[in-house]
Amino acid sequence: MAYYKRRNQSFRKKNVVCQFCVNKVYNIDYKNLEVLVRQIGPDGKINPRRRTGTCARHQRMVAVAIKRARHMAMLAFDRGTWL
Amino acid sequence: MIKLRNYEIAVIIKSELNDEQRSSLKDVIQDWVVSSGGEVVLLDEIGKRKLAYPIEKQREGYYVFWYVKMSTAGPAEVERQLSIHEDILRYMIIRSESPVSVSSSQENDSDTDVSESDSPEDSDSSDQPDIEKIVDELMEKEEKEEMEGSK
Ligand SMILES: [Zn+2]
Repeated sequence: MAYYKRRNQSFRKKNVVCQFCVNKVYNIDYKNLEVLVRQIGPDGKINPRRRTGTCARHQRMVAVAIKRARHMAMLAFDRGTWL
Repeated sequence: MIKLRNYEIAVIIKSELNDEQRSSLKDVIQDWVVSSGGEVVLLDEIGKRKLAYPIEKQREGYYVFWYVKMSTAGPAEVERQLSIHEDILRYMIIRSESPVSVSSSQENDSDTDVSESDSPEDSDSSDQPDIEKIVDELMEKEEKEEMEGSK
């Protein structure tokens, strides 16, 4: 029971609309770590759309930006050590 | 006529180089850009920074970014040069839509996008005014999908 409860909470959608659309963001820079850090979990993985509510278009931009930041060693591939 | 495109070159230089060595390496890299028919629009440096993971056993690196205009043949040539230089830990050349996207600004994204871009880009960015419409359409579509999904 507890398992299901926790599972449901973590998979629950937090935002109904895409935050990037709301803020009228047209491009996401891979150097803009303040934004990207909010899109990754404690394990360093990219947050799924079902949790953040990001639209497909912006999720794709987020994913590309995070992968670029990882390549340039600004974000880690695993664990949340980005300082 | 050769069409010039906007590119962004990101380079991590070994942090153990002194200022003199570093600036000469930066000159060398700019020479590569110029000699392959490009021009440097802007140079942006973050400077010494801790790496998120070690590269070649180095824990920190010196970050330099160039915003350049090059022909389509340029990046391959510059990339080849970057790849064989041993003082360069990591490099990346990407297309950038706007000629200059200043790294430090995150809040005023909406201010910087269309206003300052110069005229040669107009042919490229003909879809610029439609983006808002597209985003709105996408949002509506998304919402519709969500509603159906939740039923
Ligand atoms: Zn969006």
